[in-house]
Amino acid sequence: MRFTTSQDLRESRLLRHLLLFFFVQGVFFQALSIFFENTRWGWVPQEIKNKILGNEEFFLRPMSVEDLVTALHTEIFLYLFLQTMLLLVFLRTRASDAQKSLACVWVLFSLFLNELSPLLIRYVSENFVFAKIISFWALNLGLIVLTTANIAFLLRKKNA
Amino acid sequence: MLKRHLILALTFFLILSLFFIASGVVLFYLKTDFSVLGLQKYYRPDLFDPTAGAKTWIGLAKVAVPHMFAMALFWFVISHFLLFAQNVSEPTKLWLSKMVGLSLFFYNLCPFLITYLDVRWAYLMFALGLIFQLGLCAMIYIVLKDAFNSLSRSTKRSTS
Repeated sequence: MRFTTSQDLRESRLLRHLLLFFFVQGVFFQALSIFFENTRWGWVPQEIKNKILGNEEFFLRPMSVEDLVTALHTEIFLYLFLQTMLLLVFLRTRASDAQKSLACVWVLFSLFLNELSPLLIRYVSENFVFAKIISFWALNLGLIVLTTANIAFLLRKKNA
Repeated sequence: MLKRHLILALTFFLILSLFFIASGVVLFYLKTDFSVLGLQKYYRPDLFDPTAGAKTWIGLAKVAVPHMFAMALFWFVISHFLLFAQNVSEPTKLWLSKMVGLSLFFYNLCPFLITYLDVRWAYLMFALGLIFQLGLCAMIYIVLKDAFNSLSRSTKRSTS
């Protein structure tokens, strides 16, 4: 956790390599996560509704609250640590203060909505399916931008 | 300004951590009804229903192993933020951190003790679960309180 207190993360070659390696693995995690979103929830509104609310026509049962909370519990843990690592490094880059604030708020709300929307679809209204899709892509877009900015920052020479 | 952004990222991390803890509590409730009897029924269904099969060693390990890793990582990250908290004494931080760490270790051991030794270990598991969750919430409260205090201090300093 030294990166939370270091002034310039590029000072230590070891730290720089560790972070770069971590972020590259983060890219793989994200790519697989986007791929598995299709099997876990689906990419289009009807698929998500079928999965969560069930569909008698296709003999699909609605998901139980236990299944929904279990999915949420696992996902939030993984994304929480990835986004915190990305944010803590992003705050050390040369991005403007407004961009840093926006990044914090963007990933928090998109992650929160992404995890909450399956419950909202099941128990409030099926229209939250659009919130699920938008928040998922907003979260992943945010993480891709942060990863790219962090990798670019770490690869750049200190005085550049 | 960096400090303010760090506090913002930390605050968001802690808020989402509370959401993560809440989802864990909901899952615990759904499986055990928040009762010792529920815990005993969950881990030793064969004692209450002769037709039900007992939990297998592999089945227990499949749940315990990822939980040992995830809970330990979560505990480590949250408790290391206590290093930055100035509103609590060192012995209190150490005591709180050790208590939560030990409770998580024995909490993950309890399913095996309930299944293979005695169902009365469920009392200990129930107590440890409470200690773990409340301890984590206490740590999050301490860190959040300190974060807000230092934010207001830095705001006052910048305005004066």
